[in-house]
Amino acid sequence: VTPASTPIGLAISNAAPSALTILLLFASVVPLRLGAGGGITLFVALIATYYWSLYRPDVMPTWVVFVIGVLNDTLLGQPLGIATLALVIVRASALSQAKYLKVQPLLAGWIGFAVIAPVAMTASWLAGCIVLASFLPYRGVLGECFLTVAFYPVLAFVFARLGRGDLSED
Amino acid sequence: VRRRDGSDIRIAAPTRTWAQRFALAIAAGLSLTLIVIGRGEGGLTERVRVHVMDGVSPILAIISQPAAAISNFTDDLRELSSIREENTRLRDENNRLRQWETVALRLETENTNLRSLLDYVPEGRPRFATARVIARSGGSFVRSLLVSAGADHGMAKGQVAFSGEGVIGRIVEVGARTSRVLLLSDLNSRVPVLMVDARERGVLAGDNSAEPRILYLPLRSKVLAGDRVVTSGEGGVFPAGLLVGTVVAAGESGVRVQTFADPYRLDFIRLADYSYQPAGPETPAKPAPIKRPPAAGAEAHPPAAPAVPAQAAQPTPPRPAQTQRRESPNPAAVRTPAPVAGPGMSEELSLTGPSPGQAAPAAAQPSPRAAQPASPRREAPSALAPPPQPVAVPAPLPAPLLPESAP
Repeated sequence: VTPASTPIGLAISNAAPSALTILLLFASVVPLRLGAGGGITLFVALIATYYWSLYRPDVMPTWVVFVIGVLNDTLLGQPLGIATLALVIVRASALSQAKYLKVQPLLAGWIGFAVIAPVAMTASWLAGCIVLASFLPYRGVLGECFLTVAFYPVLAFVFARLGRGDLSED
Repeated sequence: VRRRDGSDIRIAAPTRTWAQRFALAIAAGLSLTLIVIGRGEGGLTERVRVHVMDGVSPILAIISQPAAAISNFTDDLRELSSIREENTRLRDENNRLRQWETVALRLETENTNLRSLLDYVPEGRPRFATARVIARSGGSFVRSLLVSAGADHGMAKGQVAFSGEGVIGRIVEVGARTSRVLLLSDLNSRVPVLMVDARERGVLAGDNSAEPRILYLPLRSKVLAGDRVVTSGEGGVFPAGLLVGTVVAAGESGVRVQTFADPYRLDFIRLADYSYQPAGPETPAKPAPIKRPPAAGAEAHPPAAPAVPAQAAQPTPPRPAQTQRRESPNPAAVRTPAPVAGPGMSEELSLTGPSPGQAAPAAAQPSPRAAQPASPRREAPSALAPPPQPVAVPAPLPAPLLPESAP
């Protein structure tokens, strides 16, 4: 009997991805003095949204993605809606490509993310430029994008371990 | 059964797809709405942010402690390799700073006495608090820190945030238990500043890069790399004379400043409320003679600092400076600046200069004032705008939220 076979176990395993994402979100803004790069924050929510939208869209529904986006903007102190927009774009893209990417190895998912993430982050940067009424340095977006894409396999591995119990039941 | 199941799936799948699309459309619409609403200043979105931050601050506080432990551990590992030379360097620096402490104490006493003679109305003394940094935001849009002190602890918008080295920003959002500090490097940060050597004023403007630039300089600006930058006090948000940074690039592409403090390496920051004005403890109880200030602290010559001339005629035996400060009859002398760089003191700009040998010539001068600008390379830092609170004591950092002084 797997833990997910009981109703409570199922509820917990369904909530686990969102809970872990929120926890990682908190961890990503906690001050760490690890060398340089203090000005760049890993966009954890983007990775999580993409991963779960691709492989298990049911465990992280759109409204949860929205809430995570608002929380992300709040934690970073940036205009509300900026990160949310990027997350929604990533979710929409991942859902539309899930049919093809889902059956491929994880590498294909990474490549897909490397294509979608810059697009979503650029859209969110454009929105930021409009909201703040100034030309924001794009270098910051590039740095954040690079870091986030580079970190995708690490988090995807963690998420895959988390989702293994559920996936084996499908 | 199989057929019915099959038809269920065929109906359910498109329905789910449509539901997903509908939800996505609504989420996208809401995101854009939030973005548009957020353009208004200080409205609904700020209240939402503040409440959410207050709600999650306990979680962040819990997470930030192991994170700080990890950071400390890695710092320890890094520092272990250079601990010997660091020790030597610090010992030298300590000797030098002790001399300057003595000079500062003497000048402070003299200042107090002269002010008492002039019936000088003291400026407001800031109230300091120390708070833990529980979240930081880099990214492309905002440069800010979240600290674990809010309106409940006396925080208010506009209060100035310091590290040990200098100004890092100011409070822009206040919740009950948290506040957000907008860093100098943020796009929305504008701080009126003064370049010390060039004596030129400008506005330090963040652009989300690590090195903010200076706007509104004169056409033929004389600012050079290496010039120190302090707040000019214009506009009233920041008092004059607070240390900000050093000019790192000055040319046709503009002037850029490296701030003294790296806000992303801080566990604790200090917050100063300059609107706080207790009844002037700065004024001594009774007037004292001008040239013979009575403060015992002024005679606190540590044995390692023989070159400093002040009050050498008085045969006070050398005692530990700390003890003497406690015994001092002058209340102002008790509030002695710690040897660490105090961000509130523009006079500490001059503390970068002399080695013990370099301070020696000043000993020949009879006037105590002559010892002060002893920095050989940088002239006249003391000619700056007067420090707003010459005797501000940094609150001990590790204590979370210690109001600096009771009136």
